[in-house]
Amino acid sequence: MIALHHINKTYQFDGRQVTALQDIQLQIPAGQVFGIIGRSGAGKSTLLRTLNLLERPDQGRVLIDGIDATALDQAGLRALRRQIGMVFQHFNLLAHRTVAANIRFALELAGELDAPAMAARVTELLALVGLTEQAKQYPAQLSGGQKQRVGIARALANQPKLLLCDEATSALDPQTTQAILQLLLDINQRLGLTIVLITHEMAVVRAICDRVAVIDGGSIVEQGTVADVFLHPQHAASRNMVAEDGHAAVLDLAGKLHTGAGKLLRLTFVDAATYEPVIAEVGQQLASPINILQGSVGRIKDRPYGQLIVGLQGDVSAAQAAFASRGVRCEDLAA
Amino acid sequence: MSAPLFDWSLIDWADIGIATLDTLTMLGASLTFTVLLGLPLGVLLYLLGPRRLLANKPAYATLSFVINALRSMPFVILLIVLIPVTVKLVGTSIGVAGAIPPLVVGAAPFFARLVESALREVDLGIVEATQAMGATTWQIVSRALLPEALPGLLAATTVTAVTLVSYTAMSGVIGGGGLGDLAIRYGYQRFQTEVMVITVLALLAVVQILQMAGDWLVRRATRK
Repeated sequence: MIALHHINKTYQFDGRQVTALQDIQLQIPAGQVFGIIGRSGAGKSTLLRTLNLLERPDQGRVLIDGIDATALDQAGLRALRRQIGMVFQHFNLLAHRTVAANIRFALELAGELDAPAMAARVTELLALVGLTEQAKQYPAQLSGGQKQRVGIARALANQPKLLLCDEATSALDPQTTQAILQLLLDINQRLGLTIVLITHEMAVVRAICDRVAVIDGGSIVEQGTVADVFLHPQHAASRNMVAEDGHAAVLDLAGKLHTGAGKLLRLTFVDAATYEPVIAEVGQQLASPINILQGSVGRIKDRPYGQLIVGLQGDVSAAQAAFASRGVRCEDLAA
Repeated sequence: MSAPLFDWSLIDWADIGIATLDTLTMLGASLTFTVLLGLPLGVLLYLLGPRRLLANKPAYATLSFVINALRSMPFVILLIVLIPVTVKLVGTSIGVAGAIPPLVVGAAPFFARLVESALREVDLGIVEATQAMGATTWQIVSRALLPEALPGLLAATTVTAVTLVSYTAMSGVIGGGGLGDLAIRYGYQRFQTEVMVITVLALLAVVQILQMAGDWLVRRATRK
């Protein structure tokens, strides 16, 4: 649905050339929640803004449903933007308008509906984001989470097929973050629209994304399903990001554990395997005890996963075969 | 019994009334034209500024220079320099009508600068969000920027109105009429201190009322 081809962007900054995006290649399938994760300054914000041409790339093409956005004229670009909703970290609501009027703003700009139709659509959107009670309040009277709900309702007003989220939960507390993420996931599933979000938090990606791209220094260094990138990060930047999140079994104890713990293996369970007593079974089969040293269990979106680092006294290749036959990935950390 | 400090019987109250009315007329007319001229100028200045929607360095520098040049001209000089233009525009260079063109030329650049800084106060995120919704530049200005900056614009108008009051007083120099004219001709040139006192008090009252009204409007428009 969305494809970025060889996107390059440089800025002039104090007379110096700064590369913001370097040869970005990205395919974002329709209907998915796609995460772009990176540190601040990695270029994720610029990348997100190339999708609706708020940032025009120096080179490359932005294809949205097969239409090259970079080739559109001003009117064509405005029409395209009306089909792309955008949600911001700092909400960017109009202070002089009530909640209802902020949502109506997007409809007024589009100018496609008459007043009664706009009012009906606003009522519908208020209900969708759970702000019916607050319709007549001003943004200054709302909490952060409520402001973001207004932002989301406004972004959905013109029934877009694509929603861009620019660090939509970064200014919110953890509980509110969960509620807003649930709302986004709910919207994605109910309305079937594609969501592209940028974040610096792995937790956000883990909670709602289907696929993720890791951006570092203006380049995409890794992309894939969240389970793959999260449980088996390949690039150093991804590994750091996963380690900081603290929800995957990352071997940081290697030195300390080396003596006496046996051979170190990392086991990764996803989906059905997480419900089976795999460790006990393999231990019995090999007739050697398996010692759980470190680990984490949880969910990636709606998929259960577990990742453990275990110490094994017996034969590694036999253990690997035994785990593999039960659908558990087993890596020899000494290798 | 010593003579009283002021002899209020010297004052022609009808004159004071007419002069006050003249001042208010000059103020009303010049403020209207100042806003009509200065608002678009200020918006243009904002839009051409660095990193703004129509960012254009040479155009911004040129406009900025013209505005600075007009603002650096002392108003008394402007009054005299503009006499030929004023005659062309309103047919006379004296009286209430003759004072209005120089007042506008003196105040519009000042107001334009205030408009520019009021617009700069609007969070760029709001401009970006409006742009992302597919708005035209005109829609961004008219539907987002100006309404969001309304409290700042009202404050700018108040400051400009107060400045115009003091300018109208100076226009007495070219026979502009109004309270300032009265103060110069009677209070200063004829040594009637009583007239001076009353005109100063009247000007003070005008300024005070303007400021209070402006503050009230700003409070009403503020939603933060």
